[in-house]
Order: sequence, then C-alpha cells, then structure tokens
Amino acid sequence: MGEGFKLPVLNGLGKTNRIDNWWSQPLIMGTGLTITLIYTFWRLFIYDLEISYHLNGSTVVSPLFSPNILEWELFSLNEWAKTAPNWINAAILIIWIPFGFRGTCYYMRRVYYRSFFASPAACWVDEPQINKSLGYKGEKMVFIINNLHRYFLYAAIIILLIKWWDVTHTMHFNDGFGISIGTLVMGIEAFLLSMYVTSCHALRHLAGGVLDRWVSGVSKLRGKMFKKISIINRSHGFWFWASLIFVFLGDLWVLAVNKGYLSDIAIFVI
Amino acid sequence: MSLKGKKQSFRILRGDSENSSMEDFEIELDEGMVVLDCVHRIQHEQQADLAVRWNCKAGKCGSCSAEINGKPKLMCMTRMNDVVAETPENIPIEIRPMKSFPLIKDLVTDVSWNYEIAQKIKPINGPDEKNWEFNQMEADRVQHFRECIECFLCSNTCHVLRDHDLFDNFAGPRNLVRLAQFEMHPLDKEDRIPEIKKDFGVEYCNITRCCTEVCPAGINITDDAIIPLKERVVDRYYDPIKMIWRKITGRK
Amino acid sequence: MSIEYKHHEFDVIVIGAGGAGLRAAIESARSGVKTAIISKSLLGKAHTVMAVGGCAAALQNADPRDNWKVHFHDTMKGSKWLADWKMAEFHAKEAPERVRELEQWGAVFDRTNNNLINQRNFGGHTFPRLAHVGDSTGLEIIRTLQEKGIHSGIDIFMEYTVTDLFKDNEGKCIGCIGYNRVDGEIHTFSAKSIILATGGITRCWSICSGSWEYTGDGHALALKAGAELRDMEFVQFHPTGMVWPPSVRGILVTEGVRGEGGRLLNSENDRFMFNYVPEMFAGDHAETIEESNQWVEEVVSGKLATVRRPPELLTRDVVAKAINSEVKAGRGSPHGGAFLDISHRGEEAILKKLPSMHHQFKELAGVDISKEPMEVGPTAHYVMGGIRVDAKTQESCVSGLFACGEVASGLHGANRLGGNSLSDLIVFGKRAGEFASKNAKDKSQPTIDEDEIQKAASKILAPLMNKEGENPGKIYDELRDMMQENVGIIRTKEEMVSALTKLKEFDERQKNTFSGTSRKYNSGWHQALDLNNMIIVSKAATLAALTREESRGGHTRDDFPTPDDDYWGQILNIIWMDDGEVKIKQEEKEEMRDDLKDAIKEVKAMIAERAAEHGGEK
Repeated sequence: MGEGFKLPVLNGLGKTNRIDNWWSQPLIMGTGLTITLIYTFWRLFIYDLEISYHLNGSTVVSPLFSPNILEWELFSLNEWAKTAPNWINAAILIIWIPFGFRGTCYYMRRVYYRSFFASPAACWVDEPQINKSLGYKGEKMVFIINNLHRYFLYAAIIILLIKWWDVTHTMHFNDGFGISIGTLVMGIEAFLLSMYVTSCHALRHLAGGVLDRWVSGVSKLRGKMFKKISIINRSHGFWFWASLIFVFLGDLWVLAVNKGYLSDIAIFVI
Repeated sequence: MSLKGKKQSFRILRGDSENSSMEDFEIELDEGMVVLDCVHRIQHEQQADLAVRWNCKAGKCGSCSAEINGKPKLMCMTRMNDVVAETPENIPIEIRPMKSFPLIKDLVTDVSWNYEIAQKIKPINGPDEKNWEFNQMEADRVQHFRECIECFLCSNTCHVLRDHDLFDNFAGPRNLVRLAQFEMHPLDKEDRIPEIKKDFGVEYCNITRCCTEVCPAGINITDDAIIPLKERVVDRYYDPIKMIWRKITGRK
Repeated sequence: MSIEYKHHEFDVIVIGAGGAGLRAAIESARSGVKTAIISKSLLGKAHTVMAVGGCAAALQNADPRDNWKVHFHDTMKGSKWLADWKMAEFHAKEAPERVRELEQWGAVFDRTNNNLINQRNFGGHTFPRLAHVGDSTGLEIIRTLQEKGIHSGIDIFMEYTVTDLFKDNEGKCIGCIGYNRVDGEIHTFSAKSIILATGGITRCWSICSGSWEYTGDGHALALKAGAELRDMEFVQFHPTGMVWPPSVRGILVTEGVRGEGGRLLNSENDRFMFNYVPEMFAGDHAETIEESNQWVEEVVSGKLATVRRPPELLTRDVVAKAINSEVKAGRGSPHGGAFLDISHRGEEAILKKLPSMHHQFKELAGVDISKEPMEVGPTAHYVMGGIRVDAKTQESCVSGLFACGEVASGLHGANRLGGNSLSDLIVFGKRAGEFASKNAKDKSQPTIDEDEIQKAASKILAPLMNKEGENPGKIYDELRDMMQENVGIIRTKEEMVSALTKLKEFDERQKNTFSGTSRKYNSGWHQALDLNNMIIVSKAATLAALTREESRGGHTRDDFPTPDDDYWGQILNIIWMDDGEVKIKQEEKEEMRDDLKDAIKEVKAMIAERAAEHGGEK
C-alpha cells in the first residue's frame, strides 16, 4: 500500500486526538521501574550490608539477596567469599537471572517499550521523530535477545526452588519448628514469584502451546496444563508487579529489623 | 442517565483525499443511542451524502470502525452515555475515519490491504477424509481466533503500521490472528513458520498490546496469537537446543 | 451524450457475497469457469454473520435417532406443508455432506465428547441437529467460505451495487449493470449465467434484524427481468429481538438462548408458552415445567433426551404470536416485550455457549444476562418468499438466471425452521453454482445491446440529476414505519389496502430525492436507488398478503385468523411483473411423491410413539 492519501497522524512525541489522561499509565510504570532500578543499584553497589538477620536460630534473608549463595558450602563458595573482592555480594552474582527473566518478559517488554522508548508511549499516540528517523526494526537487532526468554525461565525456575528452600530456613528455631514474620515475608515473596514464573508465556508455550494436538495421555495432559497456565497468564502483569514490589518490601523489612526500627517475632513454634 | 432531548454537537471529518476538513453538526439525542445512530441521524436530517460504512449494527460484522475522540472503536457498539461522559461540556465529540488506511471519503477508508495480505496466507491443508475428529479443548484455542469480525481496528491501531508504515513488511494483527488460527488448527499439516518470520514479519511486533486493548471481539491477540507465534519462531530459529534436537531426530 | 462505463466479461456472475453467494462462486470456480462475485459490502460483512444459532443437518452425531427423513418431515411440517418437497428432500439429504465439507475448509464447529461436530436443539427440530460454534455460527461459515473463496480464483468486486439485469432476444439472461459505491463509476458485466444471492427484504420493516443491505435487490432485479416470485406474504417475525433501548430495537437474540434452556416469562412471572401450544403440535412438547426442566438438564449434560422439549422451542411463528398476544393482553415487559431468562444456567455456561449474546446485552443494553432476564419481542427477520426456482438446478423461469439463499424460495414454505437457513445456503448455493457453470460451458460470450446499457445507466444517475428534493433517508424511514404499521405481524385487509395506496405515493416521492451531485461514496444516492427496490418488494409482499385470506405460518390475518387447509393450504401465490406493475396469480402446489409421503408417515408414527410414552407420566 502506501499509495493513496492517508489522514496525517499528528507527528511528534505525545501528539494525539485522545482527550483522556493517556500519559498517566506509562508515567507511573516508568517511574516505578526507575525507582526500583535506582534502589537496586544502591543496595547492590553502595550499601550491601544488613542483608539478613537471625531470630532464635532461624535465618531470614532479604529477597533481593536470596539465595545468598556466598554462604553456601557447595563448591566452597563460602570459603571463596572470604577471599573475594569486597564489593562482591550474592545479589551481584545472581541478579542477571531475575534481571534477564524480567527484562525479556513479554509483559515487561510492553512496559519498557511504552515508558522508556515511547514506541509507542500509549495507543494512538504518536512516537517521537527520532524513532522514525532511526528506522523501526521491531524485536530484531538488539532486541533479538528477547528470544532467549525461555533460557532465563529455566534459570529462574532453579532460583525459585532455592528461594522456597530459603523459606524453610526461616522456620527452624532453636526450640523447634515454627513461623515468624520473616517466614511470611519470604513466603509471600516466593509465592508471588512462583505465580509470576508459572504464568509465563514461554512456560505456557513449552508446557502445551507448542503442540497442535492434545489427543490423549501425555499430550492431553500438556493441553490441560496449557489451559491452566492460560488462566493465570491473563494476569501475568499483575504477578509481575506484585512480585517485583514485594522483593523490595521484603528488603525494606530486613533492613528495618536490622536497624531496630521493627522487630521480628516467632508467631508460633511447635 | 437519560440523554433524551439533549443537544449534542459533533465534529466529523468530511471530505476526500483531495480536500478534507472537520465540520460541526448538532443533533438532539434520544435514549440509548450509540454513536452510529447519531451519524445516521446527521445523515438523514442534514447531510444525505455523509459517507459511512455499516452493516449489522450489532457488533458482529465489523464495518463501522472509526476513531471517536481519538480512540478507534466500532460506532455501533459505543454508547452515547459513555462518550458524553468522557467528553468535557462545550467540546464537540470528534469522529474521524481510521487513520492508518487511505481515506476514501468522510468516515470511509480503503481497507483492501488487509484482504491482499489474507490472500497470501496459505489456506488450511488437512486430511482428505471427511468427519474430522478432534476434541473441544483443541477446538477452543482455534475458535477464539475465529471470533474475529475483521473490523481492522487492530491493524489501524498497531504502531508498526500507523506510525512506521511498514505495510510491506508486516501482516498486521488481524492477519497474524489468521495465521495463528491455521497454525494451531489440530489437523492442519501446512508449515507457515518461515513466512510468519520473513514475509509476515512477526518480529516487528513489539508486543505493546494496543491491538488487544482495541479488539471489540475481545480476542487476546497478543497473548494468544502473536506471542505463541513468536514462541514457535523461537523454536525454529533461535533455540539452540531445539535446533540440535531437530538435527539429531530429523524431525521438524 | 453517452454515459461512460467499464465493461467486464465472465462466465458466471454471482451477485451477493453472503454464504449462498460465496458457496455458489466456489462451486462455479471449481468447475473451471471464470467466476466473479459482486457484493454491496466488503467481503465477509454480509448478513450471514448475523445467523447465530447453527446450521441444521442430520449428522447423527448428537442423537443417532436422527436421519434425513426426520429432517425432511420437520422442514415440511414447519413450513405448514407449503414448502417445495423436492427442495426439502435435496436439503435434508445433502446438508450433512455440505457441513462436513465446511469442516475440511477450516470451519471449527463445537465438538461432541466423541470428537465429532456437536449439534444443538432448536425450535421445530425433533432432535438436536444444529452444527454450531457457540453463538456465532454464521460468522464461522462466512469466514470459512471467504477463506476458501479467495483461494479459488474468484474475482471479487467489493462495494458494487447491481441495478439491472440484461436479457438477449431469446429471453436469456446475459449480463448486468451496476455502480461502484466507492467512486460511483458505472460497470457492466456480460455473463453466461447469473446467480442472484442477494438475501432478503426485511429492511422494509422498521423493527427488523436486517442490515441496510436487505432492501430486496435480488427480488426486484428478478421481477424486472421477468422472473416469478412465490410465497412473498410469508415474512418471518423472529420472536426474540431486542426491544430496549430504542436504537437497538430489532437486533436479534438467538433462538439458541431457548435451545440452551431459556424461559419465556410475562410480567406475572408466568411461563406463558405452555398456554400457546397449537393443535398441530399438541403432544410434541412438554406439558409441565418439570418435564421441560428435565429435558434441559438431559440435553445440557449431553444425554439423549427422554422427555419432550419445552414449549419455548415451538416454531418461530407460534412463539412470535404468543409474545404479541401477551403484550396485547397487558402482561408484557416494561418496554413492550416479554422476558427471556437464561440466568439459571449460570455465568460459566452462558459465557461458553452464548458469549456474543452476553456481550451484546452488556454493551448495548447494560443488561447482564447471566444475572437478569432479557426483554425481547418480535422482529422482522427473514422472508420465506423469493424467486421461484427449479428445485434441482436453482434456475428461475428466465434462462441463465439462477437464485440461491434467502432470495430464492421454496424450501421454507410458510415458515422457516431456525437453522435451516444456513444449511439452505450451502446446499442450494452449491447447486446453483454447479448448474450455473454447466449452463455457462460451451457458450460464446454474450454481448449487451448498447442502447439498453445507456438506458440502464441513465436510471442509475437519475437521482444525481435532481437539483433539489427530499432527503432519501427520510422517505426510507417513513416507508419502513408504514410497512411496520400496516403489513406487520398481524394484518388486516383495510390496512393492507391503504398500504398499497401509500406505496404508490412513495413511488412518486422516490423520484424526487436530493443527496448532492457527487458520485463519490454518496450514501444518499445509494439509498435513493435502494428505495426503488424496497418499494417493489413491499408491493409484492403486501399484494400477496392481501390475497391470502387465511392465517398460516409467517402470515397472520386478523380478519381470517385460522388456516384454510382445503383451499389456501393447497395454493401458492405467484408474483410477476408486467410493464412495471406487480401482478399476482394463484397456482396449486404439486402433489408429493409417494415414497416421501411414506417417509412422513414413518416419522409421524415415531413421534406419536414418543408422545404416547410420556402421556403415561402425566
């Protein structure tokens, strides 16, 4: 096509015939993401102290630093940590996994293309001239890396399992087995992350979407998994934000307990 | 809220490719009207030659697509109550034709590009025997795509077409839904993945989801059609393990 | 000065791109002749999309007791024995094959537990018989045919209106003339066969379920070309159209709602349909609320029904008249209809089985049908009458002129069963395509007389020559109101006589319209030309209704409230045109073949047996 007269789309960033507050959503989401990025940077590179606390023999680790692999005896990581440079911490070593998983997430892509690249900032709102003069390539060029989402998913599933393992560490008290506020914080965080991971588009594809037929036996089971995942997939965006926000709330909780502003208690012990 | 008797002004695009401008009209509203009723009233009372495409007036044929206050919608399914509520007093309700397609006249645009792309898509290729057998679960996924009413609001909305004019490289959401419907048909044997990547340009979509937001048939275009197609393209072209697996087993 | 035009040559021209037109074109192209479709709208927008309930075919998937004989019996009985039994036989026998063929072309029907095409219950069908896709079966069928069609090598002329047919000296149909709605240019088409598939006439009534296209173009074209129409008095008023708000009045509420267990209630919360079972259907339907509830339960859970169906599933004419009577008796809903309640089926089932109805009420009326009842009332929905065609070939009495779909007649007699229209399209669309292409083979390309072209072209441009006049939209609205008032669901002699007089006035008025002089997408000009057709078909329908002095199926006379089986039950009204005047004559219907009579007896005995079984439970 291209021939024939088209009504001019109003050229330039933010030009539109819309009369509603179309800018509010990309603004809020963009601000939210920026704050989390800055906070993460501060926590990882500037102030990586007070990442966990102990309560009566149990250990509560900040979600941002969980799993704290530098305390593992596996591969003598704990030994290596003593000789490693000062700025190294657990989060710096594993952050690429959640970062990569979230960064290539099909929901997250919507958010950053809209908020950071204005491509487009909102529906029926024009893009800045620079987007057009650069030539739009879609998810090719640098964004081709998004195709690796499923590999980040595999890694994220491993991290997730360890996070649940970390939750159990909050439940072993000197005088028995129980639950503290820290357990709830880490538990809810692990739950939200689980929902976020299991509602993933790539998981949905690998579980059943890849097949055309769901006839019987295994393929039927995969079809059912596809249907189940499809249900929570509808709210993938919600799980994205909920799990993201809770990582930081969890970290703030651990920080606050360490600083003595708040204190953890065991809710019950058996 | 009853709008009966309310005087409402409209600002509608009149004209064709050579000469067009926004013109103002005022009509008296009745209860329960939709935007298309108002356009018809203007047509029957004031401007007999006002061009507007419509058929079923029940949201099933997808003919009356237009942009109301800057948002693409079906005029027959947009209730005046809602539009009046969102439009500030003393400002006319603006109605424009779809902007991504060439203007013919007034609210009518040339949507033939969508049909041209449709023709390039390989048709279904299933077993020769009649009485096909597949179950409802398999049917569900495909039936969802087949609810499309071809209003082309999604293609009108998509910034790949609207802002970047990539009509030669990208098939548009509507036709990606059509491709998904064939690709995921339980008994279809055709392979369309190479074209989906190359000719129909699924990678141009950056999943900003405006097509899904605008779809009046409620099809989850992005989640159910485009992303699964992207995942199938990844299977074929970007996933090293799958590529090695295919080499070993010799399967597609 | 001669008017300029573009000329095209084809073997077969199909006018209309709904289900029937597309199916005919596919068949024609498949047999190797050069085929074109001319369509008033864009491809895939035709009125077929509004057919929601399903496509009747005795597939025997949902109930193995079904077969073509039962379908044949149901169709004939539903038609009040006025249908062309030859067409009904072809239809009942061929529909299953046509439906399976659609599946191979990509249609994805709902499935049974055995992975086959599922079938649902509908009014007048003894067994569950309607292949369906939720409540958007028509959309599924037109999309399937459209996708098949664009890969069949058919030339498609979108947004063209045909205004006249041409004949040669021997009276054979040889071409047509029309205009491109987009730029207003005139086009002529020469063809060896022409298939009319233009749909119905219901736009002539103000409360109707039809789109603007339903102006009876094909009926008028055929009359003007010398073909005959039959059964024009039989207009089906669908019992359940929306009644509120006013702007959506008439939009269809699928019969599928009742097939899924929907209950009709009056303002006293009474299921009034139990009081309206006509003698003809006595014993076929449930007599208690318990029995009909049991039927719904069985059918919904996929079992074979062991009891009789609810009276809500009586044929459409019966239900429409019942609602009409309830409203007249002061037991109607607030906006002059009846309540249709499906909320007892629960939100999940409703969203799965009736998603577009849920959407339609939610968006247009602000009613959530999974929680509250709908308000419904009769709406002009379908014309049983149309071009009289040969049952086997679908050819009209004009050689080379074929018709299929709603514009043709014969299959539905005095009343159409729900679901028989979609199967009508594919069965007789195929037949029309097949025989039209046969007719086209080994013939030379006809040439159209230049004088005739000029005459027809100047008629097209006439409304643009006016310097002033009425807005055609106004005449259009008034015509529809007039027909609704005088030739509506209940008719009297006085009203129809006055309608005929008024139609003459409209005929004069439509000559003096003004909608500007531009040819480019001039909606008013298009409407002025459509008005002409609407007036012709309104005359045909009114004249036929005035002549038939009885009440039968889709034709109800206040002054002759009962059927007259001895005379009118044997008679067809035939309409033709002589020198621009619409004329009428009567013909006796053809005697049914003996083996078909036996088939009917067989089915009747089976139904009587079922009724007797349940009679004991009372």
